[in-house]
Amino acid sequence: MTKFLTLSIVMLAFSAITFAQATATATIVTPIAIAKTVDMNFGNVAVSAALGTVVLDPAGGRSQTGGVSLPANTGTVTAASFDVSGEATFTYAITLPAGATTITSGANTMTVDTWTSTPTVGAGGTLDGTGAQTLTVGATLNVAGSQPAGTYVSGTPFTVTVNYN
Amino acid sequence: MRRLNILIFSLVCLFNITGGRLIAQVTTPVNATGHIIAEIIPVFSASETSQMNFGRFAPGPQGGEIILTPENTISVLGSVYKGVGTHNAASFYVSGDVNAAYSITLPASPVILTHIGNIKTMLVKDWVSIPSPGLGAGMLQDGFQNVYVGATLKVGTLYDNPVGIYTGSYIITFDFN
Repeated sequence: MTKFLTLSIVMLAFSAITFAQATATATIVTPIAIAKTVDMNFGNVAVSAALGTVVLDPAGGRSQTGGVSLPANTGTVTAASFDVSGEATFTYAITLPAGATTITSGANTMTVDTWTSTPTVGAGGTLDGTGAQTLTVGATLNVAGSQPAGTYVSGTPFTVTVNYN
Repeated sequence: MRRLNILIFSLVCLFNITGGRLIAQVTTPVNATGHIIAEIIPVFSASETSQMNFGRFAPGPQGGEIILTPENTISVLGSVYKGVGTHNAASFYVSGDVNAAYSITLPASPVILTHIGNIKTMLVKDWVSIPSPGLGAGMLQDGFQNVYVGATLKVGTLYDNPVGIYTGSYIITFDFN
């Protein structure tokens, strides 16, 4: 009985091999990569006794709320910019910082949060025909009332992550 | 031998179920970091520290002019007689970011001074300043600068400008470039 069962299974297996005309392929794709090209710079910000914010959009435009004003002498204003590269036409997911980043000038601090990007996190990115796309990132600077003057820089940089979908 | 047969059978079945394709997808997220910079600058402000005052004088039969320089010197043209008393060029204290440049805009047309007791008027014209007016003429070394302003007062006859105090206001603009 045991010999009969074994023979049946082997015959079924041979039968399957006979009718499966298939090709196994594997494609190695270019790994996705990201490199920063421009740091984020909110430029010159004038303050008052009232707190406020500076919203820097991914296109590099600024707007303000509260007691903050944006002088005509803007200084250098830039959204952060990253070069994403990989396999042409592939889509990828974008992850921006979940929390706030602190920037400091001596003992004084401000926070940066509410991160935005182009393309957006929701839409994700799509590499072009050459396998490239520029990812720009903006955020919101939170300014306290009578924030002391100075140049504020992030001690720990913020991180942007991308991955193929 | 029996186990080997079962293994072969299982692999063949799996191969057919997947449509004859073997698929492997392994992706690794990659990241990059960026820094953030912001420059908080002091508030740009200007305040009057000394009012412009042409002092006391007496009109003559034809009238004339009183020229008050930003350096606070005064001179008279025509039939105007300068009296005793103080005179002051206007001065302003401008403060802001260290080494920030700014522009100064003086009144483009004469400013009217009106007698405090009637409708008689005089004109203040030819405004001058130190630093000179214009784009980027001012510079806040150490974060501040004093700006001095002078002008010329046109005085009529005693009929045109009877005795009394004449006052008026003017606008000077400091623009942070």
